[in-house]
Amino acid sequence: MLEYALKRLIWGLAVVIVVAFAVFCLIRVIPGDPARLIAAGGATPEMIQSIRQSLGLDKPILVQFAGYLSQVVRGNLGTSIFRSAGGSAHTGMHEFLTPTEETGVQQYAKAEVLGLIIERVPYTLLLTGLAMVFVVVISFSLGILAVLKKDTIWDKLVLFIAICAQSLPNFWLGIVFILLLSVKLKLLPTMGYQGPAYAIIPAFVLSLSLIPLWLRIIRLSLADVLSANFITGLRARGIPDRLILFKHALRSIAIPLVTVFGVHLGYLLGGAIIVEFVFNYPGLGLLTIISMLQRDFPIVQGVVLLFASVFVLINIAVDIIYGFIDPRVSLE
Amino acid sequence: MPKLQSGGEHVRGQAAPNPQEPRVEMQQGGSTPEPMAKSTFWERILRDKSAMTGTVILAVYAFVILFAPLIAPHDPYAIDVDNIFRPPFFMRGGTMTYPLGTDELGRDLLSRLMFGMRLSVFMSTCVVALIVAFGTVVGLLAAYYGKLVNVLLMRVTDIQLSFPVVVLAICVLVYTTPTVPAVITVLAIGNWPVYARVARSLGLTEKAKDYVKAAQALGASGARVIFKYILRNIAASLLIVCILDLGAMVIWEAVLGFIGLSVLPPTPTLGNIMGAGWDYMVNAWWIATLPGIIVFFLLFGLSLLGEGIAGASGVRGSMQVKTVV
Repeated sequence: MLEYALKRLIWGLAVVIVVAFAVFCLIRVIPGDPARLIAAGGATPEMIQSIRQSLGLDKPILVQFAGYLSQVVRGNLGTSIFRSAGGSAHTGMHEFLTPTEETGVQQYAKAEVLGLIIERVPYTLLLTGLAMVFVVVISFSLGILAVLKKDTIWDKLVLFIAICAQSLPNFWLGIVFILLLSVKLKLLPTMGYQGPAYAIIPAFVLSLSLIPLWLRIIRLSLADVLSANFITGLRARGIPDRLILFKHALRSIAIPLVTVFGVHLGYLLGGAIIVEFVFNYPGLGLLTIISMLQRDFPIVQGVVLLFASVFVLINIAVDIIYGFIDPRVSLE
Repeated sequence: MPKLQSGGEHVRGQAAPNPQEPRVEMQQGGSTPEPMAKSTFWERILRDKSAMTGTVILAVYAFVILFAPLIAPHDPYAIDVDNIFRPPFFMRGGTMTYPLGTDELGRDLLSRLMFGMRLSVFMSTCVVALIVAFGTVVGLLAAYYGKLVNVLLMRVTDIQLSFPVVVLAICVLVYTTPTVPAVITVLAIGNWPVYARVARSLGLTEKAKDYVKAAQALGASGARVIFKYILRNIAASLLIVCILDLGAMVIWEAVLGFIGLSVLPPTPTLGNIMGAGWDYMVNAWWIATLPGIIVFFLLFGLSLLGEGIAGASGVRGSMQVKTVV
């Protein structure tokens, strides 16, 4: 058991390193030059070259990557190219100009990637956590309703809701919500963040993509279990359906749900990217998109490293939990 | 179309007709119980009202997509500066000349939506075709030959699945011109692991079944077993996943287009129309909103049809339908 966990962890580490390397190469290999972007207009080739050297961009990729890894294990994920520590906006050239009396240029300390990420993690966690709560609450209530009233109009209605939720692009729904609630009705502020309440609508929009799948799994598994033999035995003894459901059936749907759960948490982390973009919610997703568009690659690397690690860990945890729940499964 | 005829013919030696199993002629003695359902797949699905509704919706879409150049009221690229931001006809200020309104350059939205549908659906179909072909082959190989191929596949898909596809897409498409082939390639690369996994798990289930052992005992080569037998039987499940994935890819394209990473304007796609409209949400909400309704009905039709096929062919719903974004 411990041996299994260890084996998976080592594989997981390998996966994370490969992913990090892939992003590393991707950003550097693709046309477009961060050094030139930092230098902005009017920079001489020598200046660009010196910027490139100070960023270490002229060394071979493997050397750069090795250097990056050695920093990561020390907890240093690098510094942003464009963002300053104080949060002010600037072009990025300032670091490379020495302040003199004539130019009077001040040096801005660059924001640490790790710091930026940690700063935003709570927001994304709030969003993701709330979305997961919505998913569980909504899909369980609807799923149980559908099963208890199987083959009636309620069942069909729940299925209809599932199909609708599956067919809506969730960012589009976000747009519609913003339109209706903020622009037209002027009911609720939807964009940005000024308190936890701002996470509610984005979380709901995010949850809509997952609800159909959970609904199906719950409905199918519960229906399956309810028609199993031991349930018939319980019914014969006069135990009401509702009790049967809660005490016995729910336990056996834990397995498929746990399987899907791992993938979905990973999905939520990634899917939050678009939702955060639409709602201007200051989480990791927004950081990722804006940094990508600005070519602020230390941030992008750091975020991808984080995502990959989290996803790998979640999957390992899910597999181990799976091994516990279902005694028929032996971990190889 | 996979051959899903079943039940109509009473096969000796089989207890109850299962649409999934091939009709293997095995002569066995003894009496067998009567088959339960004498209907064929086609009979069942034609009777399914929601599946038929889905088919009708899709037929409408297919018609619009195929005949867009003939039925679109205007040229989707024609700029009309006098008529920018016209609302749809059911609102004040709208006219029937521009039934769904115009965008920021006075281009007719209805025509742009028609051509946008065309391009979006075309791209999604290409993506699905690519990933089904590639993913299924890889997944089946992993399932059948096991051991090294299997482990390798699992690790590769692990790596790929832990990479948010959005990040991959952004990485590539920000810096290269997002042409149609580029977008298709990116979406294909980002989404093939799902098929590989699905094909693998389906393949593993089939591999344990008796008919595979029978074929092997008869000396069938690996390739023959995979392609002739296993593939035939998982075709129904794969088809359902394909249909639903077609919709998922349309949404992916919309997401990319929204951020500005799909094919660039003036070429209309459902995504980039939404993206352009995002800037004008307050004054001209219809530009960003109407494409979403079109995507919705497309997926709705696809889902109904998919569910119908699943019901009619007896496939169990333990399918992992990948969710988007």
